[in-house]
Amino acid sequence: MPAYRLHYFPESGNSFKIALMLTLCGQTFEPIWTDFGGGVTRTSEWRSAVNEMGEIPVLEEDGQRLTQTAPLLLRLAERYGRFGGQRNGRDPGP
Amino acid sequence: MGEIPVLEEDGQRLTQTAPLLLRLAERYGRFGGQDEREQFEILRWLFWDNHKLTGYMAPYRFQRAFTPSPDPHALKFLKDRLDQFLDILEKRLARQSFVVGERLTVVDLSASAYLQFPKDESGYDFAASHRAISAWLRRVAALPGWRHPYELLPGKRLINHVLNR
Repeated sequence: MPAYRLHYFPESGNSFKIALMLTLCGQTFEPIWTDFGGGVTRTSEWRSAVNEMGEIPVLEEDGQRLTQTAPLLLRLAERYGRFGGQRNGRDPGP
Repeated sequence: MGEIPVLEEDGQRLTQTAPLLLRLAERYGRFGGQDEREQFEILRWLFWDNHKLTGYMAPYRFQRAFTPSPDPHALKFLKDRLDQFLDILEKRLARQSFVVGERLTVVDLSASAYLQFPKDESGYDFAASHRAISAWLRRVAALPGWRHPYELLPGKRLINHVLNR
């Protein structure tokens, strides 16, 4: 089971999408609260260390930093065989 | 969805540019990812382009050039955001030849498309303002078979109000 860490802030709907998907797939994650309101994602330090796109959420998967919500949802859908297309004959979800 | 383009493939109507580019890349084995990591990077930057770079450049250019009386506040909002996204792309292309790495992918075709139109439309002169982006646009345009948008897409054109203003 991969170790997930989610860089987020509570008002971020995109963070909610990833947190919900992980939860529905039976996964847990370490929440990394990020000071979006304080402007940290606009600093060059945060951008070079976490995400050059300057965006939240960032999902770390065993230390690998991944971003962009839609590709992440697709990746998780494929990995856990839930809520994806039925191309591979997998469980499409509830 | 009320959107252009729509691609018909043997009569089946397909829309949304990014999924279409990915479908064509897979079908023809060109400009796609070569492994799982690269495929994820392609998706990541394609989505960034769609909701940030193209996502702001398209309405900014449309409001600025193809709308008779654009709202200056809307234009300023769009341009301020767009400048931030162009800065992200400029920094990245200063380090590498193409958006995902050293190989041209569908991301380059996607992210460069709106930037290849005449500069009087967007108001950006990338050769002067963004050197790395400008050099990258020339690399993309050097692709064998590449053609300028107004050569590839003929027909009646919208009124350019910048030229008439």
